[in-house]
Amino acid sequence: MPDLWLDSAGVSAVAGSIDNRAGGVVGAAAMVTQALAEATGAVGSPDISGAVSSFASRFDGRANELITYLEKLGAGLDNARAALEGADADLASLVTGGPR
Amino acid sequence: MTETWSDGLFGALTADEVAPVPSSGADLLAAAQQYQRAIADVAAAVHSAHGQWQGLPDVLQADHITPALKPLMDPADKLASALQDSAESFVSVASAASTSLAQLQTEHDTLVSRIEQFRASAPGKMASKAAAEVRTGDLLGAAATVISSWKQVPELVGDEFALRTEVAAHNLKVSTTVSSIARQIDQITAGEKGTYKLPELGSASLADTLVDHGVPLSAAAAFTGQSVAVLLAGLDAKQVEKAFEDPTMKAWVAGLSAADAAAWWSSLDPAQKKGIIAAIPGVIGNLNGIPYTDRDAANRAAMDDEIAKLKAAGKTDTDEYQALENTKKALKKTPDSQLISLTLGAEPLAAVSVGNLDTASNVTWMVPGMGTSVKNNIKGYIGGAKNLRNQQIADVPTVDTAVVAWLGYKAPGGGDLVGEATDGLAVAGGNQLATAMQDFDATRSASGTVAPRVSVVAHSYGTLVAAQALKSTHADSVLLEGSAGIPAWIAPTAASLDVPKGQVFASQAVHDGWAITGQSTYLNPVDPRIDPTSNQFGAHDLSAEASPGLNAVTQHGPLVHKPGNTSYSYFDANTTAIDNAARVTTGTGASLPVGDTPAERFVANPHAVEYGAAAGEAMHGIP
Repeated sequence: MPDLWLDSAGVSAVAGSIDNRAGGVVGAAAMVTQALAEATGAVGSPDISGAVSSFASRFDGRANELITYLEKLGAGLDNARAALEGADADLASLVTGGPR
Repeated sequence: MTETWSDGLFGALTADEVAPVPSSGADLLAAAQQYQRAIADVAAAVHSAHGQWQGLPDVLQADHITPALKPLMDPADKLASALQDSAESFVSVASAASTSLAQLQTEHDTLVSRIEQFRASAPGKMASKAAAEVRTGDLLGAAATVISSWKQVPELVGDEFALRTEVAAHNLKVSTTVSSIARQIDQITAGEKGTYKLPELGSASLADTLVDHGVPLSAAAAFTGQSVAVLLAGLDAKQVEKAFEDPTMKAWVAGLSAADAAAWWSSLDPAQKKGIIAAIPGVIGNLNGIPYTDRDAANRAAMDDEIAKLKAAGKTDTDEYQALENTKKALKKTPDSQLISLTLGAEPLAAVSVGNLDTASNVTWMVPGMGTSVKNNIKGYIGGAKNLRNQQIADVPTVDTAVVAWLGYKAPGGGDLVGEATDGLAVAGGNQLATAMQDFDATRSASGTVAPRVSVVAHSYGTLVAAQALKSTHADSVLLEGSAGIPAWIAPTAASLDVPKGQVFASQAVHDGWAITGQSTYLNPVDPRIDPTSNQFGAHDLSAEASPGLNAVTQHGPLVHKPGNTSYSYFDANTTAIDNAARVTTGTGASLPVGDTPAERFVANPHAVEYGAAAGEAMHGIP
C-alpha cells in the first residue's frame, strides 16, 4: 500500500475551491459570449459577422471544455479523497496529522 | 439599380454604385475589447484554480500520487493563457479593421460627393437628361440632346470614365478588406491547437498514470469517474498486480454479480487474468460469473498456496493439509477435472467437476452422505463422478456431460449418529447446494452458453440435502439413492420438489442395511422421515439389483468395489444402479422399469435380514 497522508478537510477545500473557480469561469465565459454576440450583431458585413460568429462558437466549445475539466478535477479530487480514506483503515488516524 | 443599354456609356453613374462600407469598425473594436476584458476574468479564475491545485502537496501525500495529480491542472492553465492570446489577436484584428474601414468610409464619402457634383455640372445635367430620355424610350430625343450639346461630350465621357474607374477600385478595396478582416478573424484560434490540449479525465491512460504512481485503483476510478472494471481492463499484468495491493480491490471483486463478473472477466486478456488469479486466487476461484476453467486455475493456486503455507508452518499433520494434499493428488490423476470451488479451513470443502462445466450440456450434481469429508473421500467421489460420467457416455455417446463431486457441505461424521438422526446439517448443506446450483445457473447464463440439463444424484444423508436444495432450486431430474429418509417437513412427497413430474427417482437396494437404519433412527417421532421409495412419497422407484451384465448393490456404500472383491454399491461401475443413474441424468429415466419397491424388497429380503446382511459393512465404506 502506498504511504498515505491526507488532510481530509484540506483536500476538500482544494476541491471546493477548484469547483468555485469553475463557477467563475462559467460566469466570465457568459460575458465573453455576450461580447461576441454583440460583435456579431454590430458588424454590418455578413462575411465579418459570419467569422465572428464562427469564432464565438469555437470559443464556446473550448470554454465549456475548460469548465467541465475544472469541475471534473474538483469532483475527482474529492472522490479520490473519499476513496483513499476508504482504502486505508489506518488513514483515519493520519488525517489530522501533518506531512511526514 | 436598373441596368439599361445606356448605362456605362454616359450619364448613368450614381452614388448608389459606390459600395457601402460596413460602418461598424469602431463597434467591432469595442466588442473585441469587451471580449478581452471578459477573457481576462476567465483566465484569472483558471490561474487561481491552478494556484490552488499547486497546494495539493500540503494536504495530500500518497507516495507518488501528488506528482501524478499535480500536472493535471497545467493544461487548463495553458488553455486559459491561449484564450487570452486569442483576445489579444482579436483586439489587434479589430483595431486594424476599424482603421481600414474608417479609411474606406472616408473614400466612400468623397466618391459619393464627387459623383453628386458631377451630376450637377453642365455635362452631367446633359447626360442625366439624355439618360432619362433613353429610359422613357425617346431615343430620338436623347440623340437630339446629345447632338445639341456635342461640345460637352468629350468632357462628359472623360469625367465619368475617371469616376467609374475610381468607384470600381473602391468597391474592390471594400470587398477585399472585408474578406481580409473575416479571414483574419477566422484565423484567430480559440485554443484549438497547441500543448494545452486537455487530457481526457475519464480515459484509461489517465488511470494508467495514476496506478503507475501508486494511486489505489479505487481512488483512480473515483477520480476519473470510470468503473474499476473498465480501468482494470486497461492495465497490463504488472499494473494489475500493483492494483491488487489495495485490499479494497478484493472486496470489490468479491461483491460483483455473476453478470458483472462475467462482463468484467471477458474484458481482460490472458495475462491480466493470470495476474488477477495470482493476486486473489481464493476470490476468483469461488466467484460466480467467472468461467470454471479459470476458477479451476484459481482454486488450484489457492490450494497450492495454502499447502505451501501449512508446510512452512510445520502443519502437515493437520486435517486441512491432508485434505488439500489428497485433493491435489486426486486432481492430478483426473486430467479432465475442474476444482470449481474450494473453501479453506480446518475441514476444507471442495467441489470437483469431471468434465468441462463451462460447456457441458448435461450436468449432474453428486451429493454425498454421512461420514463424508474432503480429506477422506475426495478421491473416492471423484472416482464415483467418473463412473457416472463414463456410464452416461456409454449410454448416450453424443452427450457432452460433466459430473460434479460436490463435497461442499459439512456432513455428519461417520460416528455422529445424532448428527445423522437430526436435520440441521442437511438443511445447512441443502441451502449451500441450492446456492451452488443457482450460482452455476447464473454463471452459465452470464456466459451466454445454452442452459444445460441439470440433475442431482444424492446418496444416503445427501438425499436430505438434495431435498432441501430442491425445495428452492430447479433440477430436471433427481435420483435419491439409499436414502436415510426424507423428513416430511422438508419434502413430504416428490411433488414438493422443484423437479418435473415423473423425474423424481428413488432407489434402495435389498442389501442396503444403513438406509433403513437412517430412516428408522430419526429423532423426530412427530414428523418422521419418509422412505422416498414408498408409495407415500411418490417417486419412480428403480432397481439396484443385478441385471444382465450388471451387478447388484451389495452394500450401502456408495463406493465399495475394489479389484478382486465382489462388493458393489450405488456409485460403483458396472452396476445396475450406476446405469440407472446415467439414464436418469441423461433424460431417459422415465422409461426404466419400476423396481425395488418396499414390497419387493420385503419379499426378497425382509428388513431384519437385510440389516443383518449389511451388518458387517463399514459405515460408508468408501475405498
